[in-house]
Amino acid sequence: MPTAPTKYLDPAALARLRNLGLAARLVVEGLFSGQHRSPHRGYSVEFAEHREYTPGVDPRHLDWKILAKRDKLYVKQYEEQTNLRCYLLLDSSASMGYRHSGAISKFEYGCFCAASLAYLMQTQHDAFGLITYDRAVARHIPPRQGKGHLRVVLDTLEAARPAGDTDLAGTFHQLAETMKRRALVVVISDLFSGPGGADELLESISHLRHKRHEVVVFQVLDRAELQFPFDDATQVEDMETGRRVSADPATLRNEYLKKLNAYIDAVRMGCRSREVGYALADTSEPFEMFLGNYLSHRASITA
Amino acid sequence: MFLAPLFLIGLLAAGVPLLLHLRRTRRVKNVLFSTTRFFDERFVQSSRRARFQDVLVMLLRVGLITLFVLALAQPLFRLPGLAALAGGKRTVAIVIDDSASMAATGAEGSSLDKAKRGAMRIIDDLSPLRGDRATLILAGRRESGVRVLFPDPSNDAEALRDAVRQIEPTDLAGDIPSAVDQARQIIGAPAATPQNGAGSGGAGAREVYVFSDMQASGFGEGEAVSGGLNTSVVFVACDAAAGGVADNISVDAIQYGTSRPMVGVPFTFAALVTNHGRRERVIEARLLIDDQVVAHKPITVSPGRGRLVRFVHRFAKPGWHPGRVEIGPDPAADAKSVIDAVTADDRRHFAVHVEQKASILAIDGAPSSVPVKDELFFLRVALAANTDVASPAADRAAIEVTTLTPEQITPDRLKPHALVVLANVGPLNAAALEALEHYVDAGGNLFITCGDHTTPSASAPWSSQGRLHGGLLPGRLTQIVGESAAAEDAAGIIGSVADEHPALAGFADGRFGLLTGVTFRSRIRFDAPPESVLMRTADGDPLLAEKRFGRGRVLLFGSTIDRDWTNFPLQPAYVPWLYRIVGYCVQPSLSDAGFVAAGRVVALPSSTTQTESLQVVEPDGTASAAIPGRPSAQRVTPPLEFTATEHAGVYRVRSATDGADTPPRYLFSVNIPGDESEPTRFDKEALSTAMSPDTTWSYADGPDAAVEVGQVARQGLGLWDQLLLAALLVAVFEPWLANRLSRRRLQAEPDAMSRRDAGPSTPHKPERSAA
Repeated sequence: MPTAPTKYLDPAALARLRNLGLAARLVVEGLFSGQHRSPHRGYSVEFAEHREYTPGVDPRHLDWKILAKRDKLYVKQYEEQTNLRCYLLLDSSASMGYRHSGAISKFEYGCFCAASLAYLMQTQHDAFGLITYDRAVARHIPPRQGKGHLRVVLDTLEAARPAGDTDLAGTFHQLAETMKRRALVVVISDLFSGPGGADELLESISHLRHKRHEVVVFQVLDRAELQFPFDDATQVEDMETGRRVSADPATLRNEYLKKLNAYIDAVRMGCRSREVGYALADTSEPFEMFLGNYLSHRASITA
Repeated sequence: MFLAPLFLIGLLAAGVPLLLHLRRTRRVKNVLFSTTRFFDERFVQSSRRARFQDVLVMLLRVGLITLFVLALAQPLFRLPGLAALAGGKRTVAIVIDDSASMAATGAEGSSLDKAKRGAMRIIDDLSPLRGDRATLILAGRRESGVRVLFPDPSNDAEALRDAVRQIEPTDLAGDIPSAVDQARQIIGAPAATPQNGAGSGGAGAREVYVFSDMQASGFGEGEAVSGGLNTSVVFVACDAAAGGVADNISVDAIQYGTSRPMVGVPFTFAALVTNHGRRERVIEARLLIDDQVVAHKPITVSPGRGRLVRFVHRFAKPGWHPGRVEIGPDPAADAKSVIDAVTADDRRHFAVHVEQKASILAIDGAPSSVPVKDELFFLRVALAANTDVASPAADRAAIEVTTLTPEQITPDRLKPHALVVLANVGPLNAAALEALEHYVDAGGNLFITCGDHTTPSASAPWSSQGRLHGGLLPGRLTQIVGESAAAEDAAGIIGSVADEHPALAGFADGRFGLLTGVTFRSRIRFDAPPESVLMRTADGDPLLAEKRFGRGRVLLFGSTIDRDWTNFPLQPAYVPWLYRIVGYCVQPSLSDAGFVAAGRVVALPSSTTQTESLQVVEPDGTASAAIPGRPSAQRVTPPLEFTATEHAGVYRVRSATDGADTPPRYLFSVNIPGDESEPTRFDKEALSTAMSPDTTWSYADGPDAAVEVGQVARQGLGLWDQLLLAALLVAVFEPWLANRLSRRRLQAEPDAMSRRDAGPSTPHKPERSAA
């Protein structure tokens, strides 16, 4: 794995690019700058087609027979079989559209994360799919590989808008039943889902684990959600349910943070006990740093 | 209504906490938030409670400022029906300060004129039909008691007005506390404390109006003015001179160079002139004897300082001579006729009795052929000396000493002498003792010194209760302390001297010689009433005591007049001490009252063996009869007293049977009390320090405001004390509540990101690497 980048990309600046693909490429190239090629190479099992040789292609793939017959350089191409299938589960509920003072919402942050991971998968010839969901699955793109598929995924991400309420547990149970093949499931969500609490959510994640999926949870939260920096008298309106709460902000903050921390701790401990990767993302910090930290940490424990 | 409504401007400040609160609460933000799943109902309730507490704190702050401002504004709770409910009648005591300072004159007349004008308005405001009554009290300091013009409150308004019109300024000092207390008793207000005595009280409003120039000395020192409960006291400032009194200059005292003026012998008068003002003054001081200016000199007196002015006069004739020292404008520097607003203290009167030649009779109880061992040796030598430092040219001894033995005492031999000295005299026969008693009772003076002959047993008849006036001695001799052969100070040393006594004035500060070196090998202990003791030993035993005996007096010295028991005759202080004692005795017994403060009761010595009626002719020529005083334990036979000493001047005492051409028997002078010259005046704030806390009082700046202030005081109930107390309670509670709230809010919960690194977030080991 590459070393940690020395310069981070400002999420807001990336958001201004309006080009998810370019942003994802910048992130991934930043992450793996200096790396010549992916250390993971697929192995060929089935011939696919011939293609005219261009300089730079590994001469090992030259079809020597055609060279002998026609005196032309062709290379053989095979149907590659990846060793990884990845599902990117992006929460597109209304709460993900929250942003306080920053230029980027949780949903946009999640999109960048998903795009970056997809780009990374594509560069490594891994198969990746995208599932957006709110109360139920909104869009399901099965995992495939290739640049064309990446384009499809990126277009889907750009077209997605956060709306509706969430039923994370129900969605995860549903996906656990529908995803037959074993895969890496990356959950990108704020994990704010109904009144069920952490137990219901963790139970659904257990269901995914039970289906032998490897699960990684990225809990994306806004800085304002983490700190609740409201000093004036505040009336809080729930983005999903429309519930309104008027309260003294100072009192509100303490009570809110106490319960939020308890919830995060419960999720974190639950993930750990279920061997589920967990990382908490703050939308105000560069997401290539967040991804880089997580991936480097993950690489260090898998080495 | 409010007594200080300007402070109500401060109520604007009460809006500040309200504005801050409203600004804070109106700035409610509608925040679209990702979730409210963490805000449960219990928390919302606590938030409501916090909001209520915020409102409570805001109300407390508003209340605190409001209460404080209202207290400063001095709200008066008016109950127009209160007087009617209580019966509606008013019982009013009008106290008018008739002290000397009230004669101070300004553009609108004197202070007393203003006071009388104010009193008239109060009387005009009374309603006889309703049953209003009033009394009139003069607040001059009189030893005989406050002068009450209407012992029973009267509803005769015209009589009250007449009485007010007739009030004239006096030369008295002021005594506001006594006058107010007297007013309280007359109008029936209950005292603050039961033991102070209480009237039974009557229905209706009780009011005391005090018209005074608010001179600080009129309020006494540390004496609280108490009007009693349920009584409103209104002080009305009537200072006509206002700032003029600040320039007051006065003659505060006169000292005599010696106690005994003699014909042809220069006699010194020293007058103390004090400048109470703030600028240096050049004035002329004059000495007048028998109404003739005999000396005058210009003097310069620095501000705030006193200046001693000495005059020397040689009397040509014996007998009584009235006189005065007065100050006036310096003719060379100032042509005005008066030098300040208070003219009463610009002169000080005196009366001296000039002796042709003093003759004393000494009874030698222990004669000796060796002069120095004679009991009277040192006395003769001392009295032959001349101590008048102001007249070094005096060439003769003014005191002639005649010596007798105890057996030679007869009434005829005693009579010519002003003083008889019993020097270490043993037992006396009955005739001699009776002759001495009659001699003293008729106005003679006796100076008894002790010794080995004057023992307790020998002198027992002299102090027998069966004798005239309880016996000659001021105290019964009880015990001989020490002996002649003992150590120098075996019987003690001199401990204290009554330096206020005219015979001993000046010895306390050593001006006439130090008494500290005097030691006694022996002395006789005697028990004299404390008020009669003039000198004491360091042990507290009486050493010199005085007793009035009819028209005369007796002095008892507890040791010898020679060196037998003491080293006193060898001390420098002996000569002036003896001179002052003898000089004091040879003067008429009224001489200690030569300077009587106006308002004091003057005791006129009278004989019990010679029934007589005395008259006192006042400075204005009015003749009044002296009246017997009250008998006391010390004085079985009360002396005649004269109480009408309200005006400064020289008073002449004569027998009622004397003809008009007969010279007066004696004279005494009355002067304005020294503290009456003090220019300090009380304002409202200073007055509050002199008032008893239980008294409801108010202050009017002038007589024109007296009626209105009185109405307010009568109908109103001052609430500022209660408001201040409430403000104090709120001031204590508000920080407690605010602190409690802020402490709860400041218990900040750390945000989740700060716990991220410390928390259990380590991802599990994946089954397969994703990258």
